[in-house]
Amino acid sequence: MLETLCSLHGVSGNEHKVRDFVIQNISPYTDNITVDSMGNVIAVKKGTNPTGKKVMVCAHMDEVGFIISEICDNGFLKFKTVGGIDHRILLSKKVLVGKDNIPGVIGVKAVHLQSKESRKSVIKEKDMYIDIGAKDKDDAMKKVSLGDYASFDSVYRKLGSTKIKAKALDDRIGCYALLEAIKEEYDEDIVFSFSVQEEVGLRGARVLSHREKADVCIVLEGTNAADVPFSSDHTTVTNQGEGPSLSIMDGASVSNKNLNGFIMKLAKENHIPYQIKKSHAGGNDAGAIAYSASGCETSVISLPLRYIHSPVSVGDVRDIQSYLKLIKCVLKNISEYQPRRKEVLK
Amino acid sequence: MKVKFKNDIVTLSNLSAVSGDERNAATVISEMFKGYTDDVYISNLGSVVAKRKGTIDNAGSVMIEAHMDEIGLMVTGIDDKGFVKFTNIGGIDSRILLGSEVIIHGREDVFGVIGAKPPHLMTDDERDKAPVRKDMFIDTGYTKEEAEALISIGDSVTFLNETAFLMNDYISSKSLDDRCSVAILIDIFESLKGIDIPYDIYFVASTMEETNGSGATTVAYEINPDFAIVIDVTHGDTPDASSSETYKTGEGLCTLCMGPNIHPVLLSNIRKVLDEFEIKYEPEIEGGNTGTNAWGIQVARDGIPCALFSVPLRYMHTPNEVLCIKDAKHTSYAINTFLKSIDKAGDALC
Repeated sequence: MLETLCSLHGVSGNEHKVRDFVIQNISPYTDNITVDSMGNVIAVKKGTNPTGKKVMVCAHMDEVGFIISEICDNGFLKFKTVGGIDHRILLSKKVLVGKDNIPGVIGVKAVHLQSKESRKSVIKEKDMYIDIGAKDKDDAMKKVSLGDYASFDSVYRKLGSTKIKAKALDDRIGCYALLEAIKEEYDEDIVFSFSVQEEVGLRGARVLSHREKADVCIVLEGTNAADVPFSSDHTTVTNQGEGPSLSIMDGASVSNKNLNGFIMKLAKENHIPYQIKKSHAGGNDAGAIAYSASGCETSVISLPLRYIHSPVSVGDVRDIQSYLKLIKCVLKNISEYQPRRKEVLK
Repeated sequence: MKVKFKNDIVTLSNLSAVSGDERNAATVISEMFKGYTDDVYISNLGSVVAKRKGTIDNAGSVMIEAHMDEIGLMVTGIDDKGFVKFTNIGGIDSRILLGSEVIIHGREDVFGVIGAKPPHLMTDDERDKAPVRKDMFIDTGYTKEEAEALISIGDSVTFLNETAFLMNDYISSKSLDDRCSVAILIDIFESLKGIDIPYDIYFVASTMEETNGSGATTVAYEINPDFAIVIDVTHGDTPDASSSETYKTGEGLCTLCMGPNIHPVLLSNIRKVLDEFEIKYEPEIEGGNTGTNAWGIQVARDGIPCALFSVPLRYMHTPNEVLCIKDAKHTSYAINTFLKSIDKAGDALC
């Protein structure tokens, strides 16, 4: 299922293929499914013994990618990136354009034609182009329209003995965990939410959390694993093979300390490995959810991913197993968790 | 016929043959030639040579050459965590490596991705600069012990190939430089089926063009043909390069080289035939080294007259080179038309 999820194209603003897949896969487990004006999917699974506390889990359906911004007279396509992509990884990568998945290549003139000086410079997005083999503008427009989205063309593959490589692991891994978790029974009513437009500013989550007004939310994410050469122990952010990470804070939110403590205690009791994310850069849907309405206690559980936001993001299967175990364990036990209520001081 | 030609290009570009490590590709290519002649051998330095016997003795011989090797990488070390360090074989723009997928040809083929120093650990200055090879590595997902059991220093590394079919018969693939020309060799062989050609033709898929050209020059020495026709790729039109340094693609054209590397009489005879049959080409003017095997073959033995045809190719030396099948097919047609037009090999030189 994770393989299928990663193979679907769902650049921010164009998540319908992922949405359709999600709805198809949650329908057997609940008939309370809403799609809102942004395109978020909100599915409520009834608990067997609810206490009335509103518990939400959230993963985002969108991925980083491209939008076609110009169809040139010579038939080449200009594009803008959607979401944060390191421009240095784009050259000579394959993409699929539009709803018909027209194959294309992000071209760059041959090394032979580059001056020594220009080889040292980073080529900017505005100077890049996609080659789909079109003869000219009219020819290209038979297959592509302005505003079409494009995704990395990257096949899900095994890497080494414990890892996998795919595009869009951020955050199809979270979607995958939710699709697995919704199969189980829980005491508490659980709101399973699948958000849109996380990569362009947490916009789907802002809307859905405002409507849902949850008391507690667990955000399921992918995060950076820089456990690679040139990195020292304290700069890896997370390490693969050490389990999912819990965030203390990042650029968009501060995780709830009590909720984090509850999750860590459960993880320890159930021998599920976890690690603390060692960076406070970046941000995710927690930034919108934690501060929505009157506030929501929020924690973030992330899968460590190498080369995140690239066509070749890498995850560790052992971490994925722990990630699934941990989220299910938290939801099974969440009825024991007491979110802090507004206190009226006399 | 065109379908076979396209399939051959795809099959050939899928072979792995970094300069100096062409053995497996040579086996496949020999088998392809054996469909046309029993006289196929692999030379001392690994090139595949297939001889098409002429119908008349002493009508001389012609060598048609394309190189089968490709640019790639080579393993230089494995670090404590199993990450693989590498160098390049042949000219590669380091800027295209980041995020590329590769196959390390170790004890077994090992899949990997190319990573680099993570962006959050870079200084602003570094972020504005192109990534350099020394800051990159191949991540195979294996631990040091696992990696060392499969991978050794010196193993060759190719880009993972996933051929894509673009619009208008354009395809993207790795190593179209110069496997498309090996497909042209086979296509020429095919097109001469049942046709009496008086002189012998040697079809040569050579090794080590991307490094030192020794595959082709040593075969030229051995065969000692009356003249040689070299088939390679040249730069195709892209929006980021000027039209003066690139050639049109997609219009069913090839280039015919002119300059000191090219024998003037041979060239003039080829042009006469192409003009006679109204076969179009773009002149490619090179003031010195053409950067192809023609440069080495020309001075092999007592000197071997050379002509050079090229297929225009976009994004040369990247994992996703792009060409139009029509252009490659046209190149094949131009060469076989010329070959059919001469009686004795030596006639092309008078």
